[in-house]
Amino acid sequence: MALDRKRSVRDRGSVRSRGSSSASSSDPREKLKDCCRQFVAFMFTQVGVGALVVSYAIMGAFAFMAIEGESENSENNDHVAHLRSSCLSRLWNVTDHLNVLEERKWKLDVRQVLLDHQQAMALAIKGGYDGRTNQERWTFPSALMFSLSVFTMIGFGHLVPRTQWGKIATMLYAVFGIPVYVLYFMNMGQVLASCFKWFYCKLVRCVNSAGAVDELSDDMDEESYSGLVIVPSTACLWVWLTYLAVGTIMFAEWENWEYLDACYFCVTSLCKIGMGDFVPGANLQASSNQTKLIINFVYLLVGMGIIAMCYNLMKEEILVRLQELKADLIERLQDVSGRMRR
Amino acid sequence: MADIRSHHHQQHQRSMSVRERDHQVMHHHPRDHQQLRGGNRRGLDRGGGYHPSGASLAPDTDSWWYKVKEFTRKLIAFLFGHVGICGLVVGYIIMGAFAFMAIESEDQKRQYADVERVREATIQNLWNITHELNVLYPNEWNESVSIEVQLFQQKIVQFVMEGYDGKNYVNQSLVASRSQITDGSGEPTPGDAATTTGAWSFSASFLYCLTVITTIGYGNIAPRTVMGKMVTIVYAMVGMPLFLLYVSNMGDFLATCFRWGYVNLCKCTCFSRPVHHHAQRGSRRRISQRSAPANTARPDLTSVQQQQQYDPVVSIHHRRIPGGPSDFDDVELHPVGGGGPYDVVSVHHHQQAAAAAGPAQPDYQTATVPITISLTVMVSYMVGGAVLFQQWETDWDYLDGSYFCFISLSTTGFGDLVPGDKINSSSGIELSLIFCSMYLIIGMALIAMCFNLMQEEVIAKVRKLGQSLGCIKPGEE
Repeated sequence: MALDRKRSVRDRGSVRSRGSSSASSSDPREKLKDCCRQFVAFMFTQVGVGALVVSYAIMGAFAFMAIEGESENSENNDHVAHLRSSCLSRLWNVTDHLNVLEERKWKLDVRQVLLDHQQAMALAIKGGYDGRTNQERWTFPSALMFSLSVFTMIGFGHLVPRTQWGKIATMLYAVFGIPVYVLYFMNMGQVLASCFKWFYCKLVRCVNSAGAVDELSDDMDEESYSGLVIVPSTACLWVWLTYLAVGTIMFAEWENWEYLDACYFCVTSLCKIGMGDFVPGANLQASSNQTKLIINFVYLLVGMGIIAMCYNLMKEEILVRLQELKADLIERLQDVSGRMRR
Repeated sequence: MADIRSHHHQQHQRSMSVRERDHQVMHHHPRDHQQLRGGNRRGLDRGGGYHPSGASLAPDTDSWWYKVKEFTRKLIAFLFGHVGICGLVVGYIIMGAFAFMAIESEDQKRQYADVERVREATIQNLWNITHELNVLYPNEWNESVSIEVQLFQQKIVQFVMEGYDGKNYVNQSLVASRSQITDGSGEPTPGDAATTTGAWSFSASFLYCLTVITTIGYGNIAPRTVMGKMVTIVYAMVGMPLFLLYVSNMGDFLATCFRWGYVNLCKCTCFSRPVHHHAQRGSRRRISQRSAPANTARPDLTSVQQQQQYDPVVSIHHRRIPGGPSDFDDVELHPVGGGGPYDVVSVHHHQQAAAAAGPAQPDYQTATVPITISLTVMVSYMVGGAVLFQQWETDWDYLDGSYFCFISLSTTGFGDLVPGDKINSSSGIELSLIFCSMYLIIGMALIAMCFNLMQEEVIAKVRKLGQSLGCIKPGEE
């Protein structure tokens, strides 16, 4: 099994390795130039993509601030004011109507009025009313958070476009932003995976001076590092859990959430579910937590990168295991059916 | 022969295609009762080992017994492959729906009770205000009452932010009759709680579970209890890979069907224009192989090794998709040896490619569907959904419908627009939610199919672009 995997790895092996190995054997200057070129391309790619993502988010934030923040404060606030005044007038009518104030009847009518008011209010709140004006709602950090949630496909939903143009802009922004994000995701994953493998190699070599050379290998940049080391999945899981724990503690302390709530937020955001019931720095009262939104932004971006890294490092192992599991299951099924037939 | 075979088994045990392995396994059983000896097949020594002679390899293909077993095996593989995955995903969601219903409905009842308590307190305050003023001056009264209503309003805002859905399922007439009987205290009797299903009805929980494992995450209903949040975390961890598996599986299957249909359609209608094929499907790293297809058809290798070598190349399941809707990597998630038809096709293709540089007849496994068609399929699905949802939901226009479809299918899922989320929806709310769930499940598979069909061309185009820009050396990745 090991043998054929190696063969398949070699066959599928990186062409770059073939190219560079053949080039290096012939001309060291060529190799240097090649190395330089690779390095420049690498830096340009990684840094370029990272910068692209950040600038795209910033550009989107400004665009949405312009579209949504400047729009009239619109029907919602007026609507709510109207609701309140109609409620009051109804209450007055009820009170005025009964010449003799009988408690039971009065309360019955008032209850009905309040019930209607409550349901209308809930509807309005779902429609976007939360006591703030559009300018207050669409600050720069909030808009940045919104842009991020669009193209990373998290989609918190605590702040959404309400105007028609806002919705159209969101869709266009997503159509162009999602490929950019995916590019970032793949790149970041590769870079972090390489870094982590290098780091792990060093660590392993420090611990085990002979150097751990394993039969199995990941098909990733193996030419750069001597020895084929596979990073076990547990290491990736530890990294992820650590990142999660850091985020949990950070958010729990800053936002005064429970630890479970902070953990729930971290997991649902990093898994791109994005419920939106917990968003740091987005609650009504705290209008001064703008910087925390930025930190949240950075945390999520880096978190996505770490997930990509874990994904890269773990996928081959998972694939093999899945294959084994499936073959095993089918084998067992066959076995059981064979035994039953006997 | 036996040596080669045992060596082959030891080497390729795990990475052999399922079909091959089951072929070997099946050879076991008809001969078990003949008490075979010998063979050192690792892991397959059940009741007899296997006959090392070459003659036993050829099964008795004419026997009815063999045919039945072959069929059963294929059925199991197919079930396990496609229908099984679908069933597994749906079952998982249903199980989650029941779990969340049980966990969250108690809390929901408590929330309703809280809201009602606040309301009753407001009523009491209003009564006190009214009662104290012996003569009713409108202005004064209005002022005090207005303050009270403002407070009530703020509390409602708070409740809705915490997840209150605005509904009040307590029967209105029941309230009226109750307040006439009692002295109008209005506390909810235990009998009322039984009539409220609340926001966490079965279909709402179903949609919630679906949004968790597809990572859409609307958030219009979200767990508020501790247990609910913990269960959500665990549910997401287990469910997301499962859903990715489903999407990749169904995506590949649908892509194959679509290609087959497309090729046949092209053959029928436009046979003058040849269907565009690519010589092989290779990964980005194997671009050198792309230019020299004859190289890979080394006839000196044994057939299994050749297939082994071909597996990554010929595999229908492509390499790392740039993301797709769920950032999955198709080749890793769908094992190459997965199921009967794929192996047949891969062997067939290998023979074809070995015979000539390009296949003589259109092989639907290698046909490239143009990007425009895939895009059309995606867009029309979204537009179709938009129209349907606009019809169903009373206050959505076409923009809202398409906005909802786009945001949901891209797994963003803000949650501001969710079907069946209005307070005063009629009884069609359950149906609306179930329909929405089905739409999403099918939509994800369709999107995966489109990405599957598009990626060849997109990657080739991007590579060309990169080469023209000088970023990528020709012949490099």
